This record gives sequence, C-alpha cells and structure tokens, in this order.
Amino acid sequence: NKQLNTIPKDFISPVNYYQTEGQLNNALNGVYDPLGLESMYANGLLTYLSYGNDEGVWRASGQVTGPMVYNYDPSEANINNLWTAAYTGIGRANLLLDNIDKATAVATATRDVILAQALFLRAYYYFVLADNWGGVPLRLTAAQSAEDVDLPATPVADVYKQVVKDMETAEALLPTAEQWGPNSGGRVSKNTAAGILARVYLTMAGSPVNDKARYADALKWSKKVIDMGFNQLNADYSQVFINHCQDKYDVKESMWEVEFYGVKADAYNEVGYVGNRNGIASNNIDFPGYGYAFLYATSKLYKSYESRINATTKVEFSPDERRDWVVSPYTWNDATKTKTFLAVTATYDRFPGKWRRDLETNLPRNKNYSGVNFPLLRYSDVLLMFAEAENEINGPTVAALNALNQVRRRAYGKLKAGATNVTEADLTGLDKTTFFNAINAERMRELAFECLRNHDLKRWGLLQSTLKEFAADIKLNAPANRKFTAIIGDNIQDRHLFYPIPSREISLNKAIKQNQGW
Amino acid sequence: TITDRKGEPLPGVNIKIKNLQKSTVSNAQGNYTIVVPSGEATLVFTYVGFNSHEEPVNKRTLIRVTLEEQNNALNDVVVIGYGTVRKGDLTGSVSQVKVEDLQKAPVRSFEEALAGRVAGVQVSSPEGQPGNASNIVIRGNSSITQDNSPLYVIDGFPIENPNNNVINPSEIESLEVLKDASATAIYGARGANGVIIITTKKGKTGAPVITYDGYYGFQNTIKEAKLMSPYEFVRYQLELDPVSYTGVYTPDGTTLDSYRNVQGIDWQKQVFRTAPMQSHNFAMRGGNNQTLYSFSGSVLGQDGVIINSGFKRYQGRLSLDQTLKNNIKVGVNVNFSNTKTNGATPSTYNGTSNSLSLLYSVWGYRPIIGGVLPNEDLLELPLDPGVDGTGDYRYNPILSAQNEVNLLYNNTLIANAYAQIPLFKDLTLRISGGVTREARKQEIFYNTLTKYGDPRSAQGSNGANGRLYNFERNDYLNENTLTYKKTINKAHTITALAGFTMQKQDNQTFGYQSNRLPNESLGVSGLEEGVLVNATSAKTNNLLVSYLSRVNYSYKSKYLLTASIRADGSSKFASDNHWSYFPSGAFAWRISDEKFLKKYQFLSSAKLRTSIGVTGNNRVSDFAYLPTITFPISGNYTFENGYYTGAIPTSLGNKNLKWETTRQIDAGVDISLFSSRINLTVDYYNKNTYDLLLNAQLPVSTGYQSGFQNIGKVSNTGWEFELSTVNIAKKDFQWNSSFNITFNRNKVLELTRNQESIGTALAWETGYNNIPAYIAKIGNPIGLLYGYKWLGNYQYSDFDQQPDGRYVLKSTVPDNGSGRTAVQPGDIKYEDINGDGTVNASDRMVIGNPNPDFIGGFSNNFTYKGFDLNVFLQWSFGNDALNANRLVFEGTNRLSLNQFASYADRWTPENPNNEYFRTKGYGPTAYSSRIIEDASYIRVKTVALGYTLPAKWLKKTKMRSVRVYASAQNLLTFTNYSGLDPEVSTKNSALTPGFDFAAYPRAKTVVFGLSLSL
Repeated sequence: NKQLNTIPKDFISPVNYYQTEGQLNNALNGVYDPLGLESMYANGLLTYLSYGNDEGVWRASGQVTGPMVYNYDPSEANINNLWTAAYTGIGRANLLLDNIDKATAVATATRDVILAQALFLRAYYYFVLADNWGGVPLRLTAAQSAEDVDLPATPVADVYKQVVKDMETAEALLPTAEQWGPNSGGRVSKNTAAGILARVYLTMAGSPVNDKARYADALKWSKKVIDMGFNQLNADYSQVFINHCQDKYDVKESMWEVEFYGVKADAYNEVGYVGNRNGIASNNIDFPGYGYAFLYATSKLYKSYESRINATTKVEFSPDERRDWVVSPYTWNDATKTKTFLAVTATYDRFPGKWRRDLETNLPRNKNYSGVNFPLLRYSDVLLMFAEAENEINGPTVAALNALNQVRRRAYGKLKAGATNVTEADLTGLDKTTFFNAINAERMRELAFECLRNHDLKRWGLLQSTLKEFAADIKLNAPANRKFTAIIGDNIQDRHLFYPIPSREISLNKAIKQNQGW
Repeated sequence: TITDRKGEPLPGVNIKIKNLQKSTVSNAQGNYTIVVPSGEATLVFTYVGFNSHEEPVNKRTLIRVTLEEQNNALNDVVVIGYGTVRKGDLTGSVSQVKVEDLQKAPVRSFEEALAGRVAGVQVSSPEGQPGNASNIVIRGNSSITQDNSPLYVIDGFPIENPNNNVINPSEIESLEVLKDASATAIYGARGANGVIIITTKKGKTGAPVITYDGYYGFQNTIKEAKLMSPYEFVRYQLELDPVSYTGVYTPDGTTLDSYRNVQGIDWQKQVFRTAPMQSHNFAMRGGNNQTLYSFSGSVLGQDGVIINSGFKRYQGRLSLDQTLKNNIKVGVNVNFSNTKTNGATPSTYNGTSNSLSLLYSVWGYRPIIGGVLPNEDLLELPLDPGVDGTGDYRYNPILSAQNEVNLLYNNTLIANAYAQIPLFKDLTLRISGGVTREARKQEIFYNTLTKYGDPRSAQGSNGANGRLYNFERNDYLNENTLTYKKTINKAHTITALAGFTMQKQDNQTFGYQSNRLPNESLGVSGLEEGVLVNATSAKTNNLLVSYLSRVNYSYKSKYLLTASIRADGSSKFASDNHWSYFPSGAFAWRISDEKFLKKYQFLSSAKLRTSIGVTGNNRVSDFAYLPTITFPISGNYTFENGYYTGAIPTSLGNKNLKWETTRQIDAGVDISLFSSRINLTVDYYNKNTYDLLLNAQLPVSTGYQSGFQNIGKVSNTGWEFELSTVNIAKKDFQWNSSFNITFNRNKVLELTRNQESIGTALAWETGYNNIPAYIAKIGNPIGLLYGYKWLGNYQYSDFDQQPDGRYVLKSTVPDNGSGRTAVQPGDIKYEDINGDGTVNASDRMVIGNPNPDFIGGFSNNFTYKGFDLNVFLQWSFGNDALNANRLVFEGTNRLSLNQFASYADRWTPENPNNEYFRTKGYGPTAYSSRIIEDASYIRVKTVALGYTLPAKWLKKTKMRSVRVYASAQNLLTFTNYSGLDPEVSTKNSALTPGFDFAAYPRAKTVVFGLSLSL
C-alpha cells in the first residue's frame, strides 16, 4: 500500500510552497506576468481593444468585423482573452494572498511589500475588468475546488469600492518610487498607487457609477503624488518615449510601465508589439524595424495640435512638439530605407509615431516583437487628473490652470533649458465648461496611443457621440480611399459601452448574467 | 499419409496407440511411421481444429487417413482474460474477429481493417494520414472528457493506449473483443471501455514452414475539393474589397471578363500524388513435442497521398515455447518494431489560426495572381505578395509540404516470458513477466522556406528552427496466477483462478527547441548552434497492484456459471482512494441440451446468457489529484531589463478523485442452425457509468481553465447482431458470409453541479475558439452539434425600402445578431428561437447528432476452385458531421482566398437564392445547421481476389502453396456528404466527434501480391 503513494517528480504542490522570500517573490512575479501577455498590453489593449476611435483608426479597409470596428459578439476572442488574462492575474494574487501568512520565517516588513504589490495588482486587474465590463464576479480568495465556480457579478460600484479599498491598503505599505530606485519603472510604488487611485476615483465620479463625491478623492490622491515632490515632467516630450524604446527608465515622469525586454533572441517571451502594430509601417526587419502599423493616426488628432506658418520661411509647423512625435510626419521608403516626409495636407495617411522602432537599441530586431516598455501611468496624466478634479470641485482655479499649463509648457518646449517666452502656451480665462473641454482635448494630445482615450470618453459619457461626430466628419471630408474609416461611427451602439461577458464564462458560470444589449 | 478433405497433407498430426504411451507426429508430407505392438491395436489421430479419429490397424502396414475439420464452432478456443475457454462454454459476451478475412486488407495496422468486423465495436479513423491511430470505442462512449479507448491485452500484457502501428497485422493469430462486464471485470479498473485481446502466431508442431507474403500497389485520394475558377475568384474579390482590388485584378483596361477562359493554378494537383505502398512478410514456424518456435519479420512502406508524408515499419518477432520435464512449460515472445512516420498532420497546427493548416493554403491559394507578376511565380514564391500576412498565415503549400520536416521515430520492444508449473494434479501455477519499452523520438525542422522558419512570414520570426523531443515509456508487468481445474463425475467442471499482479509504468519526456539556426543545412544536427528555447523535461510514473479471482462452474456444459472479482490499487489517486473492487457474475444455459429441444434436429445449438458486473476507468494523468505550481518560462516577468521567474498555479487538484465506475448488464443468445451453417448471436446491453472522471471546464473567473471531478452519469444501451452463414458449400464453389449490425444509444444522465448541459468549443480558428460547437445535454447523447438553425438568406421581402434607397429590416423580422441596421438583403438568416427580435447565444439549439444510428459490416467469401474472392462492406448510418471547411471556403471575409466552386452561386440581386449568402453577408461568427451534413456512408472497404495454384503444378518445386492476389481498400464510398470523406473527425473526442477541417485526404489503395509457403 505504501508503494502506491507515488511521489511526483515533476512539479511542486502549493501545500509546501510560499515559505521563503524567494518563493513569495516568484509567486508575485507570476501576478505581474499577465500585464505582459498578448491579450493585455503586449497586443490586445494596444490595438484591437483600444482602437479605432477618434485617435487612431484601423488601417485595413477589409476589416469589417472585430472590436476595432465595433462589430463583434460575446464569442470575440480578444475580449475573452482579456477577461482570461485579468482573472488569471487575480487567481494568482488570491493564492499568494491566501498563503502569504505561512511564510513566518520572512520578516513582516518584507512580506508587507510583497503583499502590497499583490493586493494592488489584484485591484488593478479588477479595475481593468470593471472599466471594460461593468459589474464582474468579485473573487477575493483562491477557488477551493472545481465545485466552487458559480459566482454572480458584483455591481460595478461595489467592484470599484473593493478596488480602492485594496489600493489604499497597498498604498500605505508600498515603498516610494525613490525607495524602489531609479530603474523601478516596472514596480508598483507608493507614487504609482496614489496616481492610479486618482484614476479609479475619477472613473467612479463619471459614468456609469456617477458618484460625484469621488472627485474629492481623485483630487486628494493626485495632489498626494504632486505633493510628494518626487515626480516631475521630462523637459523633452519625445525623450519619454525614446527612453521606452531604448530600455531606459525615467520613473519621475514614466511612473509605471509594463516591462518588456529582449528581442526573442533567448528563450524568454517577455516581448510585445509596442511600436510595431501601433507604429510606422515598414517591411524591413533589420532597419528601421518591421511595422505592421495596424492604425492610422486620425486627421482629427493631427489637427488638434496648434499649426502655424513660419513668418520668414512660410513653412507650416506646430509649436506643439508633441504633434510630429505622436503622429509620424514621415513614412518609410522600404526600398531605400529612408524617410519620406508627408505633405502638410496629407492628414489621413499618417501613422502613430510615439514609439519608433528605428530607435530600438537592443539588436538585431525581431520582425514581430520588441522589448519596448509601455507606460501605464505618466506624471503628466497625474497633473491633468488633478486639474480635472479641481475644476469639477472648485472650478478652473489657479491650481487647476497651473497643472494643465505645466503639461502644455513642456509640450511647447518651455521646460527646456534656455526656453524663452515660457508662458506662451498657457491657457487662461476659462470657465468650468471650457476648462473641461480643454482637459478633454489636452488629454488626447498628451496621452494619445496610451490607451486612455476610450476610457476617458466612456467615463465622460461621450464615447458614442464623439465617434458618431468623428465619423460624420470623415464621410464629409476624408478622401474617397479613407472614407471606410467611418465604419466605427456607423457600427457603434449603446451596448458597446461595455463588453459582453465572454460566451465561455456565460456557459460555465451559471450565476452570471449577460450585459445589457448583448 | 494424413490429409484433409481437400487432399492437402497435414503435418504435425499426433498419432497415438490407444491405451499405450507410445506416439508420433506426421511429417511435412503428412507421412508417419509408428511401430505397433500387435495388429489389433487402434491408432488415435488428433490435430488441432480437426475431429479426432480412431482407426483400427487390422494388420495393415499402410494406413491413409482423412481427418474431418471441426465445423462445430463450439469447440473453438476463445481467449479470455487470464485464460482460454471453449466457445461453447462461454458465459460472457466475447466477439472473435475473423482474422483471415481481416488479413486480406492491404493495411498498415489491424485498426484500419477492424471497422465493421464485429458487432459493438465502433472504429473510426479521424483522417487519412499514414500512421494515424484509429479511434476504437466498444459499446459507446461512457466517459465524457476522458479516454474511451479499450484496454489492449497483447500476448497477455495489458496496456493502455499502445501504439498499434508496431504490430504487424499478418502476425495476428487471434483477435478477441471482450464486451460485457463478465468478460471485462477481470481487468477491473481498466475494463470499463472493453478489452481487445491480441494473440500473435506461435510455432506449430511439425517440420519448419517458411512463408512469404508481399504486395506492391498504389494509393490515390478518394476525392478532391472543387474550387472556384479564376473568373469566379476575381469576381468574388472585386465584390469583397473593390477599394483595394480594382487596381490589382483589373488594371488598365482589363475587366472581369478578361478572366473568362484563363487557366489557373491547380494547387491540389501540386500537393497530392499517387503514392506507392508495399509490404513484405517472412516467417518460419515449426516445432516438435518439446519445442515450438516461430521467427518472423516484416517490412512495410506506405507513402502518403500528400507529398513528403508516409510511414515505414521494420519489425521482427521471435517466439519460443519449451516443455521441460514434469510438464513444466516455459516460453518467451519478443517483438521489436521500428517505425518512422513522416509529415505533419494538416489538421493540427501551431496556434489557433486555421490559416496555418496546410490544406488552407492548398485550397485557398489564389489560382491566378492578377497585376504584374505571372502566375508561375506564385508556384515558387514562398509568400503570396498580395496577402496581408498579419492575420492570414498562408504559405506556399508546395514549399510547406516539401520543406517542413516532421519525423516521428518509434522503437518498441515487447518482451514477455512465462513459466507454467503443474503443482498438483489439478493445480497449475503460472508466473509471467514482461516489459514493453517504447522509445519515441520526434524531429521537427523548419528551414527558411517554411511558414514557421521564414523570417518574412508572420509566424517565422524564430528563423530556421528545429525541435527534438524524446519520449520513453517503460511498462513492467508481473503476473502470478493459480488455476485449478477439476471435473467431478464427468458432469461438474470447476475452473478456479486466483492471482496477484503488479504493473508499473514510467514515462519520460525531454527535448528542446532551437531557434535562429545559423546553418540550416545541418538540419536537426545543427540545433546546438541556435538559441535554445522551450526545454521540456517531464517524468511521471504510476503503479497498479491487483488481486484477482474467478470461478467457472459447468454442469455438463449445460448450465454455466462464472463469477469474478478484482481488487485494484492505483497510485493515480490519493491514499484514501487507492483501492477499489470490481465484481461480476454470469449465467449461461445451453437450452438446446434440454430434452424438450433435442427433437428439433435443425437446431444445432442454442444458448442463453446473462451477466452483470462492475468495471472502472482510471484514465487520468498520474497526479491529477494534486494541485500544482509550475515555473514555465512563459510565466516570467521582467524588471529592470532582467528576467524574473514566476511561480504559476496551474492545476486546482482534487484529493477526492477516484475511479469512474461502470455497471453493465448483458443478455444474449447464441443460436446455431442446420448443422451450424447458420450462426446467430444477439446481445442486449445496458451500461451505466457514474462518478465520471470529468475534466470539467471552469469559468476563468475561478483563475483556472479546468479541473478534475467525479461527477455525472452516462448510459449506453444497445443491441448487437452477428450472423454468419454458409450459403453455398459445393465441392468447387463455396460462399460464406458474415454480417453484423450494432445499435447503440448513448445518453447523458447527470452533469456537474446540476448543469443542464456542457458546451464544448473547439480551438481551430480564433473567432470560433469560444463558441460551443458541441453540447452534452442531459437526456441526450454526449456530443451533439450545437448552433443556430439556418433559414437561408434574408430576401427583399424582409425589408422596407427607404426613400433614399436603403433597406431597413421590417420590425417583425429578427436580425441575425449583427445588429438591425447592419442586416441587408442576401445576408445569412438564422432562426430567432426565443422571439426576442435578435439572434444571440440564447437562440442556439441542437442542430445535429454525430452519433450513428447503426453501424456494421458485411463480409463475403467466395471460392471457386483455386479462386477466392473476399468482398467486405462497412457502413455507418445516421451520423452528422460538421463541415467546417465550408465556414472558410464558402463566403469568408478573408481577402484573396480562393473559395469552393459552390459559392459562385451566391445571392445577388439578380440571383436571390436561399442557399449561399451574398458577398460579405456572413453575419456574426457562428456554427449553424447550414454546415451540418449527413455523413452516413456505405463503403466497399476491402475487395480481395486471389488464385491459389493447383497443388499438382507445384509438385516439381519445393513449394507447398502459391497464391497470387489483388486487393483493394476503400474502393468505393457511397455518401451524400459534400466533404472529401464522411469518415472524419479531426478534433476527435467523445464530446466532439465528426468535426471536419482540413482533414488529410483518405486514400484508396490497390495492391498486387504474392503468398508462398515452402
């Protein structure tokens, strides 16, 4: 009989795990891991699930189904995969949180830092879920058996309550970015937690929860980041993204990044499509780097930046340094591997240029993948969130204007050494409504292709109207061969504010109900 | 001289002087010499398969004898678990395959010829690739998610999932199928799916007999797909994307009509071929009273009908049986096989985009290129320059087939030994041991002219790459049985068996992949130069310890009783669930021996049987009950430009996991009429399986994708009929037939957590990965087809035309799920079952049943003088298949993808038909009754015609017999199924039978052969 107690030689059982600091850290790495999956920020959230909108539209005229054109159903794979990735992270976090107390040999302070990251990440995954689906099943301990599966969706407001509760607990325990060190862009810091808390509270203040009292919390947390005094804007806007391409960190500006690394020259698979699928098209793998370029930057985005004519040369230019970085002013000539600059009037033919593969320093380039990091929170976003919350509570105060204008000054190069006329780009004389409109436009200009546009439009309740307006403009003004990009405006309906619960979940979780309209 | 009725000499006949110990054996010419003590003695001639014969000497010196073959099938010996039994004394349901018929089929493995041979056994081959295993199910699927294949007992060695390709079908002596619980319960925890017992040929007493049998022939595809002509292709492309394609296909002045008579590339012709097949078998067998020996060897080569695919086998066997003094017997049986399978399976591909399948490219590649390049370039270019490679991974199929290397080598050694020791007069001890050692090596190599290795292809970013995997399975067995046999008063016979067995299995897999190979010409031997990735190393083991016992009681072979019990202890479960017990009982009554039936002369024999018993199924992975944490490289994360290991919970575990249990009752009758010229066996069975080992799909909100449970119930009930008849038995002309038919009804009785149903989605194409294609519903068979009910197309009458010309769906007409504004005339239309005005997940319904209503076979043997003809028909009726090829090749939104010719007849304003939807009218991604087809078929499976040269022609030669023959497999298929072949199941499992996407085309084979014996 004893012989029948065979011992597995090939794997570890959780019963004996979670004992040492190393084991806890390994488990924590597993909680971070889904962020870098293709179904999240390596691909899905960069492209299919965040575009098209009025920032970026799908480039393929033949693409008439899928989330990028608001024509999909509950069986849509990318949606299911995002759901799966988020719950995978949640499941791993739950198992770690359930077991972390077993590691009595590990110092409490050490354990708390691990616990705080796991707690924060679980909350972040729930935030992704609530933002995209509304109410979702809220599971806060690991599933115990294959019978323990039916769980109804918790109302969206309650999911957010749990999210902020966990994030606040985590924030108290997390080290600051300064303590983590200068290369800690991938780690969750106290600064990051506070900044993301501002984002969550702003979301709660808007649609669909519409709990206006939460503006005060958003203000509190964004102000906390500012008051910590550590974070600051990089004087050169483009340098923020060049750093991403070159595996460099600037945690003062780029506060939290999904970390990717390598070019698949080794066995690891910690790579993404940043700069490739959401970048400039090219067929050359070696240089400037292959670009699938799924998206066109929209004419609306391009034109949202200020345009001027140089008085002496009569050449058009934008004083806003962001324009020709966010929207590539050139395309690659595949034969000569040189840049072809586009005519000023060619506003419908431009690619997103935020991350540029020719700047990658880890060589040789892989056709599909890059190690370019993707930012989840930047300090300029914190400043804009502060300005938005302040405006909602107190109106366009000096503090609100200052925060907004700080972002604008950097955009106009006014933070650089030797800059003149530093107040040139400052906005003044706005009322509450015009200030909000300024925030709306500024967030698009500043944060384009960072996958925040749909999120913002949804919480403002403006997604459908904005896209329909955008599409109407395309039908009127776009050249014939770009009119197909109006498809998103034709297709979008009320139900698209939230994804459908994936059909796999619906068929297996008997307690969950499908979202409205699906 | 001793001969049979045909005058053929009989070697090895035992000749004994009655009441004396003296005996001798006839030689190869059937001659014998024996010294008799007196002229009054009587000689007794005995020979296996013949009636014994007594002949008084009467002072003769030359005695010619003709022995009569036993036509009484009741005396045939049937192999059962741990023993043999006279067929007449059988109490359980056991079918014997007519091996000599099966061996007439020119096939690689007995599996391919087994379909339709015996009642109750469903054999289906998922597709036509050489080397592919068949799916064999006995009396219906009882497990929902776990393996339903039977236990095999090969020369006494029980083994799950053996590689049946390693067995040479011409070496099989007998093949028995144990079906009811009385027959299978002796195999306890592994018996629930039925048992197939294979016994290989051994030596026979007599001078050495040397035989050769060989054939050579050709295989061709049964059917090929009909694809669009260049004209139809261009017409479709121009409708699909006029924005992009007007310039491509109709540049400067050319129009669609320019393509009217253009010849396109026939890609099927480029990739499919006529493939040779050959087989050669040699054997030498013989022996004497002490020693029996058999040496045999074979070579088989089968090329596939797709270029660069095929199967080869080299095989040898040795068997020796020796009788020592005191009647102790020892023996060994050793088989070694080396097989090589070549070529990837087109229906399985990395990732889940169907465009990775070889046949996707064969059928979908453009027949013409349009624009600047000539068509001939498309034959050579690796990638179609007109295809956007981001979501469509098609690659030149000729280059794919030529350059993708997928080699599977298998070396299997099966070695068994036994010693049989008579302890006392009636008690025999048998000790046996054996090892089955399977070493498999897989070599995969993608050079830069394959879609996985060409850096220009989206899937080729690894550059030239290769993989090497080794798999080893060592299976050790020790069995010890005691058999007691006693007949009391010539009426009561008791046979009792008790035993103890131990079986241990070790599995090991290790291997790696290597990318970015600098010297691709080195192939797999250059892997060390690349970047090593995906290193795999896994080890697992299990142990089964069993006690078994069986008692047979017979009263004059009239009343027969069998009872058995087996206790199995398995390491696959947690310690509380190690042991389980499997009892069975059976009763048979030979009613024809009763006085009241004796007067009916036409009744040769009649027997009623009934049995009941419990068996198990333990097919789970070795440590499924344990939760696990693993450290896959994909679970890593990166910080500060460095990699950090992630610990990933991968399985939920279940410490309460235990066997799946099946309770089965069986009632049967065996009737022989008119001197056994008509033999009929009828069985009724009812199998109830409970505590199903269910790998239940879990909602991912649990954090896991699936988990093991013992939940649910399934029942199978059925009728089986086997009829064999001697239709004509004249001197020069004989005609025998055997016919069988099976009706099985499978029903789900209970599922997980009061679930009403389990839906199963298939990973064959990204958009479909989460749509259930199959459903297992309480009260219905396990794997029913599931989807929308197809109503044809929306027609103009469904719309109100607006003043601006737009068509708006009438408010009374439901939309198809695309949204009301999106639906246009000519779009696909589904039924809105719940009447909510739109078609969505709640409108899915059962749209087909892939389980056949009945299956069977009909074999006929004709002999006329030296000619023999075997015609074997096999059928399956009432089964539906899901023809997923039509989802891709009838109106897809993929650009520049050729389509089936049928789709040329699609809906247009001028041709508003109800069959094929308009261009872009495909609606939401869905399975529907549109693509469910009746896949019933009847096949002329085997036809074999032979001629045996008359003995007198051979007199001068040293040859004993010579037969020349022609033989064909899959000669004709009658079906209404529109796909390539109705026998298809490319995602085969109990939950998902009958799925057809990109199946390897089935071949028909015609060979010519020669059999010699000297």
